[in-house]
Amino acid sequence: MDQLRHRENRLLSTLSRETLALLEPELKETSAMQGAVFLEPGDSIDRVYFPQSGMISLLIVSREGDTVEVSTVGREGALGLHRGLGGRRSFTRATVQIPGRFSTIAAHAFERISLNSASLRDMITLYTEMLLEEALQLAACNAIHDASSRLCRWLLQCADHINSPQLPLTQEFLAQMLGVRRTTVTLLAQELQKRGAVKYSRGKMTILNRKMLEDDACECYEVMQRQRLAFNPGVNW
Amino acid sequence: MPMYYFCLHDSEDVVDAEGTELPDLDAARNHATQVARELMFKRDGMLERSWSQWTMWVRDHSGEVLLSLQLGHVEKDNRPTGGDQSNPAGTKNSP
Repeated sequence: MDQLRHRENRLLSTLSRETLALLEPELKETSAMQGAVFLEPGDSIDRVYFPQSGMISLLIVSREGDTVEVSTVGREGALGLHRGLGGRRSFTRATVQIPGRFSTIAAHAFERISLNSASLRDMITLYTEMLLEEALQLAACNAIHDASSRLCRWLLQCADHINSPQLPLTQEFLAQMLGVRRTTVTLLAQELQKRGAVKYSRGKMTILNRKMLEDDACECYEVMQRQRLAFNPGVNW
Repeated sequence: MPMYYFCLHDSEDVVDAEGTELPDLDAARNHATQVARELMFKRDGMLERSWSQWTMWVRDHSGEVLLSLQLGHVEKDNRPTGGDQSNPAGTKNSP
């Protein structure tokens, strides 16, 4: 397979031709349906996934079985990337939220190749640092921002992840993302629809007015977008 | 379990068409209060009207209004919320 398909993933696309060529013989392609689980908390990471499309959710599962989403991985990122630095366990559940295609590599092969490639290790470190920055921002966001502006931020981020204004997201999932009751999301989505910002029909949210969502989203959207851009400027690793 | 629908009412309605299955009216009252708090957290109003102008109606499947909750009377809780903490032990449902 040529490198083009793998370069649909923006993390892989930032790698130099030579570095990607090291990974290429080991990279496979797979697709996954909504709800497919790649990792459970505590699992040792045995594969690394680079989405070409679709979106993976990272969820914290409480003892009572409640789940809250803490991060998302789309074509700008990878799942389990830090496994390249050595044996690692997942502390979240990773599940496919929006179906898509993934470039994937066995963890032991990824680790072996990373050991011999400084540019790959740099990518892993920088990406992991960016995830930490995002997690810190998100912790603050959940504590200080209202549900409506957080909903706007999530919708924009999801649209960025999958590069489409049509988001196949259920209200149950949105409630999980925001850590609020499903009824709350229904009412907030209704409000956005009345204002003409989105259109919601069973299981699908479509962004009609991006500018309106940007104005209503909390500042965290801009901050996190800036972090991603700073990380992913198309440098030639 | 019966279905309950939680709609916001002012000069126009913000409708919950999905509904939530709950064991009884007490649980519906508690759910309404929690949803009101989640909506009002760190926010002054909705659709350019302050919370005091909004009422939440809890309806049953036939559309009959079983409860109404004036949002202006709900005690705001600006502590961070998260997860589903419906009816924590010791919570009283009526004032």
